[in-house]
This record gives sequence, structure tokens and C-alpha cells, in this order.
Amino acid sequence: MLKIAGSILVMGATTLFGMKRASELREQCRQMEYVRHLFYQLQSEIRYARSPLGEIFASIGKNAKDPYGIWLLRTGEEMSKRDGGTFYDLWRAGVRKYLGVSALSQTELNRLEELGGRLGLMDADMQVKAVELYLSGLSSSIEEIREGMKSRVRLCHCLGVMSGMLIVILLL
Amino acid sequence: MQGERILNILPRSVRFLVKRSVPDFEFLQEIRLRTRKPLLLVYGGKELFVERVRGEPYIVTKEDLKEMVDYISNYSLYAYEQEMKQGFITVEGGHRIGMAGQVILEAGRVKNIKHISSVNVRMSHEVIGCADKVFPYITRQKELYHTLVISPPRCGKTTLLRDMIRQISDGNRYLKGKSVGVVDERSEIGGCYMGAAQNQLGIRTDILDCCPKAEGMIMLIRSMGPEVIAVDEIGNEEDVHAVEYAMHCGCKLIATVHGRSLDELKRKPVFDRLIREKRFERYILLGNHAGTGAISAIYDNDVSCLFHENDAEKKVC
Repeated sequence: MLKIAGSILVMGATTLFGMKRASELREQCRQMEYVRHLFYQLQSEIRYARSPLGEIFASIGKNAKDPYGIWLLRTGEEMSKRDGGTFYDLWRAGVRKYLGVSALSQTELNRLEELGGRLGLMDADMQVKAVELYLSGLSSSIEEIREGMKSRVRLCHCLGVMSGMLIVILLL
Repeated sequence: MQGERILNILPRSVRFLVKRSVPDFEFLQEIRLRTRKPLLLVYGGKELFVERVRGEPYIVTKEDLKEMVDYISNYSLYAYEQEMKQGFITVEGGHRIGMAGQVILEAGRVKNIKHISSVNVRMSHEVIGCADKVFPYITRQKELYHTLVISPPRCGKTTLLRDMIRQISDGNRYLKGKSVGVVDERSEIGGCYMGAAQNQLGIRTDILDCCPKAEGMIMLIRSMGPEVIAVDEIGNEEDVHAVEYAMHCGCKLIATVHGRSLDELKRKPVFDRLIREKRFERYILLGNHAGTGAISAIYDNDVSCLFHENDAEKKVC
């Protein structure tokens, strides 16, 4: 009886682990789409309103979900303190401090950090193109993830159940 | 508050030194930074070297200017492309930051400035009540005259205009409050931050910030129905046409223009016509020989002198 209960618990735990991993994959894709939506807003603010970055961060960050909302608001606040450092320094520090907890992969975080080096410069067209370039990279990553997501989710589920079964067999 | 705002846009390395050299920010007129040259202040009409240690002036570095440009532009130079074409950016509080360096040209016209090597911070001063003495001359039976303020640079014309707007908008013993439309092309009158005036412009004032004067006056007439329109530094034919249009629409105009005298103004064809056609009913002439903001004279539309500086107490703002 105890063995059966233990087996059920092990199987349940590994299955849940597999489901969690699958849901993380889905969440990563969702968050990347959300970031894309935020950067569309940023791009349109630069293109049409020519607003300074601090102002854009404040207006987008106010309505954005955390951790992106808090990241944009805090970066804007750091900029308004005028306490040294280039825009790239402030941007990079913000990405590292606030987006470490997000579901974005390290590759995506690096790409986001790099974007900071191309923002705040003289030419508005160049700003728009820099954001466009970032968005096209992000969109391709989203597509790649989405394409492989179905099979990866199924794989996570299967691996969860199978690893549970393996552990149970080994333990019995 | 004023001091803190200005210190905040200076490079970190000079903030303390400037603070130490300036006992009262009310008297600070300019801060001049030039690459590899001493940091200079214009304080109470006199030039002042900012010393790093006793007897040794602070020498401005290239990095100082780079840092300052970041602060002035809120790390977003692209957002100030239009302003940079004119060579200056107006920051929160209405302070004008002039810049010089290498100009970028496009099709023979100035597009922007790069490698900025000189920065001049011109302080904006709000002097509440500085227009008190002009109101007896520019009003009659609670009505305002079309008024043109003529002044050389740094003589307080924007300060005077700002207080005139405030008093016209709020109302005073010479006239009841009127709705005033302000076209603030360089953000110097209102010192707007995100569209809202930071300086006191009165309760009935609508302000169009960063808007070209001629276009702005017409927009205001169509959209806000102002009784009085105020503009700073009219200069070209387009501005003058818009001024005339506003006058025809029944709005009272108060404007400023660069000039040392009425004669000098008459030498400019567009203004000569305005004076001959008696468009403006009052001309206020400012000078600075008796201190910034001193009124030299006030004339009526026939160019008859109503007030002369020798007649009365001189300093107004």
C-alpha cells in the first residue's frame, strides 16, 4: 500500500514538473509577445511624438505589467536623477536589476541590453530603425519558439510522466 | 528650487563648485562652459571665474560637456532636433541652453550640431509684479492696447511679457481678467514641462508650447477664442502677418521684438510698415543701462513719448 502511494506521489511530482516546464515555455512566448507590444508603443512615441525617452518610459511603464512596468518606471527615474553614467549604463543596469525575474531567456535579455547602446542618439530615424531591428529579431525568436512549442510542450509532458515511471521502476 | 534645477543639469564635477560660488541664484544670469577653458558665471552683471581651489579656475573638459548634453536632452538628443537647429534647448523652468560646436548641414541648411564645445546656460527669472508700472500706460477704461515690447537681448523682455500675461489673465486694478493665448515657441515664457506651464501665467491662460508663432496664433484663434494673444520675439514676415491676422480677428496683441530703439525697428521693412500703419498702440522700450529690466520709454501709436526713463523711477523688473 505504501509503495503504491509512494509511486503515485513520485509520478505526480514528475508529471507536475513536466507541466511546469511546459507552462514556462508558453509563458516565455507570451512575455516576448508582450515586450514586442511595449516596443511598438515606444517606437510610435519616438516616431510621431518625438518624446524624450524618460517621458516615454513613464507613460508606457505606468500601464505596463510588472516586471516591465517597474523596469521602465525605475529606468526613467534613474535618468531624471542625472547622477552620472551614459544612457547605455542606466539601461543595462535596469535590465539586469529588474528583468532577471522575467521569463525572458538570457539571449533575449542580452539583445535587450544591446538595444540600449543604440537609443538616445541624435537622429530620430535611426532610433526608429534601431527599435525596428530589435523588433524584427524578437519577432523571429517568437516565431521559432512558437513553431517548436507544440512538440516541446508535448515532450515536457511526456518526459515528466516517463521520468516518474523510471524512478518508480528503479525504486521498486 | 531654481538653483537645484539648474545645478541638476550641470556636470557632476562642477555642481558643488558652482553652488559654492553662487550665494543667491536670483542674481545668476549665465553659466558658460567651453571645452578646455575656465568655467565662467555672469552673476549680478559681472563675470565670475569658478575656482577649483583658491586662485585656480576650474577648466571645463570635453567629458563635462558630453555629460551635460546628456542631462539637457534627457538622454534623448533626437527629441530636440528642431531646437538644436536653432542652436538652443529650453529646459524645465524656461532656462535657455545655447550650444555651439560643429554644425551638420543638409541641403545647405543647418540640421543639427555635433561635437558640442560650448554651452551657455541663460537663466530665466520670474519677477512677479515687474509689469505693475507699465499697466497705466497700456490700458484705458479697463481695455488693453496692442502692445509691442522692444528690447535688446538680456534686458528682461521675456520676464516683463510673462508678468504682463499673468496680470492680464488674473486681472488687476487696470483691467478685468481676460483669456490669454500664449504661443511659446521656445518654451521660455511658460517654462513648460510636458505641456504644463511651470511659471505663473495666470488662471485664464492657454499655452501652446514649442509651436511656431505664426501657426500657433492662428490655431489659438480657431480653437481657444482668446481675448489677448501673447508672443515672444516676433521677427519675420510670417510672424507679422499672423499678428495682423490676430488683430483683425479682434484679439489684443502683446508681443516682443529684438531692437534698441524705434528708429532701429523702422529700418526693418516689415516693422516699418507695422509702425506706419499704427498696428500697435503702445511701444515699450527696454534698456539695461539702469539695470536689467529698466524701461527706457513708452510710446503711443503716433510714436509720441508717454514715459521716459528720466521722468520717473527707472527699474521695473
